[in-house]
Parts: sequence; structure tokens; C-alpha cells
Amino acid sequence: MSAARFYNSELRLVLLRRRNLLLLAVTAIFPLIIGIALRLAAPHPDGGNGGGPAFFSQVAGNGVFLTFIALSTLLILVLPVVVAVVAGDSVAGEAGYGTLRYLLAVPAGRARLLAVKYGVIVTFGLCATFIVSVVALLAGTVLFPVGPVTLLSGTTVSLADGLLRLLFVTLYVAAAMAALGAIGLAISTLTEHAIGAIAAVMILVVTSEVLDNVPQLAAIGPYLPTHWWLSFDALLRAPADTATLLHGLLSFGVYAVLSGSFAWARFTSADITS
Amino acid sequence: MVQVPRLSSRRARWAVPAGALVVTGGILAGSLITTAQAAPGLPARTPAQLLVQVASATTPPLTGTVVETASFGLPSLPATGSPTSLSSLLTGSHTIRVWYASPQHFRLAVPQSLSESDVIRDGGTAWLWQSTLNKVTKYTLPAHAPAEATGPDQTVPAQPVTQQQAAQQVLAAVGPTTAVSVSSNVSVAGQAAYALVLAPKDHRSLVGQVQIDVDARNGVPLRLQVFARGASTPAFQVGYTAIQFVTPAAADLTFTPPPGATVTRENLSGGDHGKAPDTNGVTTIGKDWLTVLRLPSASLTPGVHGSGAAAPGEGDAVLNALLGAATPVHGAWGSGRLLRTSLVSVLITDAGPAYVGAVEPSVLYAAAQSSH
Repeated sequence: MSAARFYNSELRLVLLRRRNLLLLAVTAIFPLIIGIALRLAAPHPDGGNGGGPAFFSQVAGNGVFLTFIALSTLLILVLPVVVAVVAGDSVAGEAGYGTLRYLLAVPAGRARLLAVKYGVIVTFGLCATFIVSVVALLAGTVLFPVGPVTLLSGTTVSLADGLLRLLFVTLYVAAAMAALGAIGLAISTLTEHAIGAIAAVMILVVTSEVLDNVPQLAAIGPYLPTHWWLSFDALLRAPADTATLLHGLLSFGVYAVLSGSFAWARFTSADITS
Repeated sequence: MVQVPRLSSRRARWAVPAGALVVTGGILAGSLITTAQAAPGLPARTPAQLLVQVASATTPPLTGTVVETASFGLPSLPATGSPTSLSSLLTGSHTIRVWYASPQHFRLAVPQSLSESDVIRDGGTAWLWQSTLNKVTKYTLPAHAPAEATGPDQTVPAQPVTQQQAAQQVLAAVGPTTAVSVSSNVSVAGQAAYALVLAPKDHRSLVGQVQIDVDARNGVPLRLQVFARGASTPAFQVGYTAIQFVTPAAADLTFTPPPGATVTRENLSGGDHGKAPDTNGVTTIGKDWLTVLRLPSASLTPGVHGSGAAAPGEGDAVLNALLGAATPVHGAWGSGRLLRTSLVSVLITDAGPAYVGAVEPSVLYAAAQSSH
């Protein structure tokens, strides 16, 4: 079986699983709820909405901002949960169901199986992120006026420029989720209980987010896996803060490589009996 | 049929993640060490020569990032999230992005998570942009701005003929109180720099030394570090973490209020621009390194009385947090509470006034006694 066919069949299995479809539906509903809530609340353009990301008020002037609001809100918990479920389930789920040995009976090789599993996780995270962006963009267009985009620096750029930045923001968030997926895959190779792996990934995410918000631990902040997630705001400045973005992408890459190599060492050396 | 590799080869596979971890750790440690210890080779300079270089330097156009870090050893303060708030300046680290073309054309940006504050000076107009408030303040500046108050220029008297003489005069003036020396060269934001060190001679000062790192090529101060006495890491530091001596793009130095933003106008071109800021009754006692600030009781009243007003402001919350860490003290000067940090001592007397200085408590007690 060629790698591409193997990947396609695995992706179809993951995407058509009812639980995963439900997760994607939930990620689609959240931007709608946020958009409608903001429309009903009709925040004043001069701010003073109290709480939430600072640019919540800016959505009143421009629907494009709903995507940034939705992404920053869902990045805290919803998107990590979606990725954690698929990544934590990827190996541990098969082991738990006893289907892993049948997969390995196919002369595919464990390394290739792992690579295909990771490819599916990354694709799923990319889908979830783009669903949030696209649904939020559509909802923002319907609920609010749309026009030139005011960046965080106060500079106004054309709508086309704004949408291009939105594309890069979405890809950056997808990269963050890909790194989390690698961590989830590594944890998934440690257990036969999918729910345990999923819970472990979520505990890791929440712990990292909490530690990142303790001022006394600011020194270790940049090394935490979640620290750079919200740094997509560097794309919303003029000029874009590329140094911060590269730091973030480097952090994602390091976590992906470390977790990926750990998953490979574990998965290719473990005795698989189930 | 499951293919299980031989045991030895299975164990060997763990070398890959272990190796990746070691390489990552090595690169991290390496980057930390090189920034801390690299001592670029530069022609030797005396303190006087360095002062001349700083005084004669005109800041070239640059684009860079400045990071300010304060770790006074204060108790944790209530976080407010505002970059200009009192507690945020006293603890933690702050980043400022700088675009500088000339004293009349520059921009400073304070990026925060999902928000930003900007100051843009574009000739006779200055802008303050606060994204959280969606608010623009437009300042009209005087046509002929007073000369830029750069540090060295203020201290250099007007009479000396040469910079060299000026530097000697400065050295002579600070000599009785301060040991001026040049420490080993440093690398700041990738630039080779000289380290000018000012150390108080009086041991009652809590300041161990002040280090000013000066760019070797153009004399621009790149970093200022204040060390507490006996400390090896600075209690306060502000400096470039990235700098490029290139002229910023014109688009980065202009500002147009975004549609929908609130714009308020303030005219500073009137006659009162030279007025000194309102000092609120704050006076100083002593001089040089042993200067003590005396704050009148009014500015500290809410904190002193503990519970504070009905709706305590951010300042009160910070003050209460500070007072919680203070210890009761008393002496010939009266009684009060003393807050000690590595770099600053604060004495809040029960009589009302508070005394603040980068000095040992005994100096504060003497100041309290003298102003009885």
C-alpha cells in the first residue's frame, strides 16, 4: 500500500468518525456564538467593554476582526481539545481497540505508520483552524460592516492586505496546533487508554497556560509549549514583528521534533501485543 | 506477524530523542552564554575618552527593540495589564520597538498581547495611539522645540573648548563621590560595546554600580544596568535586544488616525511647555548617590490607613501590597514601617511623610530626623 493511499484511508477514517465530525461542528459553532453575542451587545467603538481581548470592541467597526477574536478565544481551550482528542486517540485508541497489530500486520513499517498518523493529526488541526477562520469571517461579514482593516498599531491597511494577514495568522495557529499534535502523538504511544492520553495532553496545555501567567515564572515562559500561541498578533502590527513570529515558529518546530523523535523511539521499540 | 526489532537496536533508538534533547539544550545554553560572556576585542579607551565619545555622538537612524527589566525583589504586585501602570513598571519585563530617524521623526511602540500603544513624532505633530481604547491623542508641538535633553549634554558645561576638556570636568565633578572606570567589553544586541562603570564610593548607597554599555562604532548608549551592592545580576536594566543602524521606512514614521477612533487634540505649542512638572510637594534630602526623596503624607494616606477609600484605585492596591511586606521600625526619628529591597529602601513614618532612596535604612532615618 503506497504511503499516499495509506494516508488517505487513515484521514477518511478520522474525518468520518462521528465524534470527530462533532468536534469540527463545535469549532464552527463557537465563532457564530461569539459573533452574535458581540452583535447583540453592540460594543461602543470607543471601547470600555471591560474584559476580554482588547480588540473585542474593534469588531463593531470591522467584521474581519471577528476571526482574530474567534481564534484568540478558541486557542485557549477549544482548538487544543480538538487536536488533543485526535492526537491522543491516534495510537492509544488503536491499541485500546486491539486494532494496532492488524495495522502493523500490513507491511507498512512502524515509522511509516507513525508518519501517516502524524500527517492526519496535522491535517485535522489545519481543518479545525481554517473552519474557525472561515466561519468567523463569514459571520463577521454578515453581522458587521467590512472594510479596510485597522491593525493593532493604528495603521489602516486595505481589506486585501487584511485578509492576507488573516491567512498567515490562520497558518501560524495551525502550526501551533501541529506542534501540540506531535506532543499528543508522543503521549499516545505511551498508553493503551486513549482517554488517558487525551486527558494528559489537556492537563499539559492547561498547566503550561497557567505557568505562563505566573509573573514570578516569567523566566521560563518562553520555553513553555503554549507561550507563543497568541503571538500571531505580531502579524497584526505594522510592520509585522517577524522576530516574534520566527521565535514562535522555532518553538513549535523544536517541540514537534522532540516529541516526534520521542514517539518514534517509543513506538518502534515497544512490544505491541494488542 | 509483528516485526519486533532486536533488543539492542530497540534501545539504540532512544538515542535519537535523547540526542535531539541534548542538542536543543546545548543550543539554548550556548545562546545564553554567548550573550553573557562574549568580550569583543576593541581598542582600549579611558573613561574620559569614552565620555567624549558619548557626548559627541549623534544618534544615527536606527530600528531596534528595547527591553526593560526590573527585579527589585518587591513582593508580587497586583497586575493591571496596562503597560504604563505603576506596578507594571516596577516588576517584570517590557518591550518597546523603536524606529528612529531624527529627534523630530521617530516612533515608539509598546506591544502587548493583542494590543499596542504607540508614540509617533512626525515633525511638529506627535501622536499617541492606544489600541485598547481605540483612542488617538494628537499633540501639536512648539515650532522650535527646545534642544533634546540627552543625558551627557546636560552634564557638560557650556564653557569648555574641547570635548576632552568637558570630559575631564565631568570626571573631576563626579570624582569625590563616584569611581568611574571602563570594564571589559561586552556585546549588546550583536554590537561590540564599551562598558562604562560608575560605582558610588559611599557604602551607604545600595547601588553597587551602574554600567552603561556604549556602542564602539558610534557612541550610542546601548544598555543601562543598575546593580545592587553585591549583586551579580542587575536589579534594573534597559537596553536594546536587537538594533540595526538603518533609516526606518517613511511609512513607519507617519500616522493617520484610523477611522472610528476617538481623536483628542492637545496643543503644547503655548507658553507653558517649559514649566516643570508638578512635583506634588515631593522634596529631596541629601545629594548624589545618597539622595532621599521625601513624599508628603497626602500621597500615601490611603495605604497608611490600611483599608483605603471606598473604591481603592490601582495605586492603593499596589501600595497595600508593598506595605504588607514592610516591617515596623522605630528610633529617635519616630516610628514607622520599612520596606527593603535589593536596590531601594522605603520608610513610611507614622507621622505621615515617606522617605525613598537607593540607600541603607540608616540614611533614611537620618533624613527623617533632619526634617522633623
